[in-house]
Amino acid sequence: MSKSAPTISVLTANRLSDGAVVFLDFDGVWVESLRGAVVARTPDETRALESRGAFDAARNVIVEPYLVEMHESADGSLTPVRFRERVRLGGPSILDDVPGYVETPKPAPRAEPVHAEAA
Amino acid sequence: MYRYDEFDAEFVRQRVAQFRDQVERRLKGELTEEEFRPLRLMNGLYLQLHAYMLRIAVPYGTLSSRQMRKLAHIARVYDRGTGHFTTRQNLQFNWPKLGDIPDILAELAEVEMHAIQTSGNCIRNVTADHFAGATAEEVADPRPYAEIIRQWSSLHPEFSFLPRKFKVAVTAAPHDRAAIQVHDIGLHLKRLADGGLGFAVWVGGGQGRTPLLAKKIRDDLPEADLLSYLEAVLRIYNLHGRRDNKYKARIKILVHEIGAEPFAAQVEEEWQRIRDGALKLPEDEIKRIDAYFAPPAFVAPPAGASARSPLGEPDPAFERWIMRNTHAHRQRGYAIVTISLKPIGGIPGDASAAQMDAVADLAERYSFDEVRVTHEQNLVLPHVRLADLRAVYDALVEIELAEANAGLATDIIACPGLDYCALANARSIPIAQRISERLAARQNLIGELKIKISGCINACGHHHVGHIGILGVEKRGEEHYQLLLGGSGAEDAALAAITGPGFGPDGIVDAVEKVVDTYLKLRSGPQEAFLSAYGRLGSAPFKEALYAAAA
Amino acid sequence: MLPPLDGLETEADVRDGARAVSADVGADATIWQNGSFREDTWSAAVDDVALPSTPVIVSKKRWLAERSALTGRNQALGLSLEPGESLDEIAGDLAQFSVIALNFPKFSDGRAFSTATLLREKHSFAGELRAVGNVLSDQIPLMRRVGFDTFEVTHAPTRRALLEGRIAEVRLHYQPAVVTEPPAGTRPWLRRTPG
Repeated sequence: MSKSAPTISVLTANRLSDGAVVFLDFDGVWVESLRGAVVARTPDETRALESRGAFDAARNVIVEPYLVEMHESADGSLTPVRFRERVRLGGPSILDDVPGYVETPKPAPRAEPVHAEAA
Repeated sequence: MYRYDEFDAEFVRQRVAQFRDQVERRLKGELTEEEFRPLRLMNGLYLQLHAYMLRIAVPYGTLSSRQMRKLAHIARVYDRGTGHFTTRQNLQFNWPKLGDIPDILAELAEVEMHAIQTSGNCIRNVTADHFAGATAEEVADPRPYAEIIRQWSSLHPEFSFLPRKFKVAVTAAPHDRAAIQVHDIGLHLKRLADGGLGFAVWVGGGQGRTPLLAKKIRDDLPEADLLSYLEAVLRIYNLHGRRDNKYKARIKILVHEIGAEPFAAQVEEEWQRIRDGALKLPEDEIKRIDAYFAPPAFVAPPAGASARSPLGEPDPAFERWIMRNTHAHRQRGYAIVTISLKPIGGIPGDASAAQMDAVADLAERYSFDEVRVTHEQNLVLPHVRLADLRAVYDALVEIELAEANAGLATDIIACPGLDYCALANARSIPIAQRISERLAARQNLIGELKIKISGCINACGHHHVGHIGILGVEKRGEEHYQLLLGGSGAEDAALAAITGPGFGPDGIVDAVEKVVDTYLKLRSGPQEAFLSAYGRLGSAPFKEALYAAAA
Repeated sequence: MLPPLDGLETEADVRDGARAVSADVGADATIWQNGSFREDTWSAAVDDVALPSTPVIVSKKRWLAERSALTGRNQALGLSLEPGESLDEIAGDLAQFSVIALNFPKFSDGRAFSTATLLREKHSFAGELRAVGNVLSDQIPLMRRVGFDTFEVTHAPTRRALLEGRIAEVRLHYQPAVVTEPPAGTRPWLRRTPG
């Protein structure tokens, strides 16, 4: 990564409800895609992002927010600088080989809380 | 196996209700993440890279078919159709939602299962020899003691906020399949001089950043003193274990820093004070728990019984499977079957919901309704009649779990690694897959070879005790792998030694192959397994093969 | 860049809103005992500052430095201990203290659970055993079992839960603890929390 290029970051976290990887977008909404993620290019913007992350963590929307350094290509697309973040963004690399893997569970879980029956 | 009575069932119900309340308070913001984290960890709920992960306890690795079916059901309904069996005999689900966890726990409670203390700084799942109660080698089944320890350690008020996690393993056989020398406490059940049962007690083993082998601090602990002695060890650890540095907080560091003898003396002093107190194990209680583990109603076979049909065609694949994946049973006419969860090129330890259901059926029909999870990420049917081996094998072929590779080079242990785990530095699963594919054709020629892969220094893949161990690290922002040789988790416990500079993701697969080639070239014959050959030859020829050409 | 935040001003406000000490209970009534909050009749001595003539809790360091002077006092005396402070040098003095306060600087620091156990079981300490510091809902039932009688609680959600009787706990136990608990069945170590 070129040291002369300014570092740009996005804010990421895990959604409290399901732990999914999310990014903060321009509307202040946490979304699963990098596209539309708000980008911080200056120290002030970076600080604003961080405090927004802390705020939303306190509001119990997300957990463990942190900044991810991004590499920006000519067409504006973003790639995480760190290898770990690239893997995190892409999801497990081996899903094709996971036996029985399906994207969504079926059928929907029961609507009422389950109370364990007396033996 | 242990069966819940009303107390056990009510205990788990209350625990579920308590956790449901904790989740609600978290979602309402009455608990911060920092306050919630140790509570959710004590219920086995991690936050991983992409999702939560729920780790379900399988006490000493033993399951009934009903329980296995419930795991399959949970995989289907609440998760993504799949589960992962771990190096501590537990099961992990990788995509549960936080709000569903109380319901999942309630469903588990219906079949006498839970996720209590599978994480957090508390006493974890007590693991045991996966052949316990079935092998002829034992003086007695160690699992009743594992059950006694499990109960005593559940929500123990004094030991719920230890400096760090605490792992106990038990075995009763001379060949240690439970790796007791790399546990915080390892217990070896034995016959004492007076003829009674007791334990050799090992303390302070562990892997991770500072791998250390345990020290035997007591050779002859009578069974009646088991819990009071453990309480003394835990109390010394809770008071004096380091809390300033997460990587120096295990009991192994305390034993190392104080010294084994001074540590043992401190334990002894506390233990003498409490040994005749409330925790002395009454003989009735031992007998009561023992009764749950009574051997099933074996049927002695007719003379000449064997696995093979007298009229059948010879079947080399079946023969190979019998040779590799079955082990002698204490009862004539029976065998212990290993179900390999390591298909060639597959993900170690993973099983689909359909496979879990099929294994449950096999357990119910052919193994007195019992199946085990091993710390090598395989499953075991402990009590199969020789005459049923063919049917079992055919059924395993149907579900693609018939690979005859138990203990071979493709029976690889790998942690979830960076594909799943927030702690990891590198991926481990793809490395396992590629090594498996590379060595599959020669696995029978190579013979016994335990390859273990960890994606970070926490060593959940147990790489320190691999005959070949691989540690994934991050180097200059890329995945990089260190190669270690000569480790063992068995009674000949030894920590593997690093060979030299590491390798990239392609290089490490080549390096493992070079090590295998060197072994094959230099072994005294096929009867000299890798670990023995390495012990005889030392590391020099392997290092030369790995690095000399590159110089 | 980002849309402004309406209503709540800062992250600190959010945290404080969730955790503010309830107006229903006087903020000074921080000691939970026997089902209610009361004011603290003890004060904590500050090292190097002269002691008030009221019941005071001193640190171990101060006790060891001023033992004879403190023994002569007419007022009730208490002792506070940090995690990691040993009982060895003071084992013979414990009867001097009406209260011993064990600090939990972080709720995850569990050393005081063992210290409490030793105070009760090894040293037969019969005075008030108080948990102070980061005392939260989920640890209170465990603290009770190892012999704590009183709890200094300032965490607002914990205070509310205590007042409303909503501490979620498991009332069945697999092991005997310091406190005497009725058995829960015939197995040797099963206990239950009565009530």
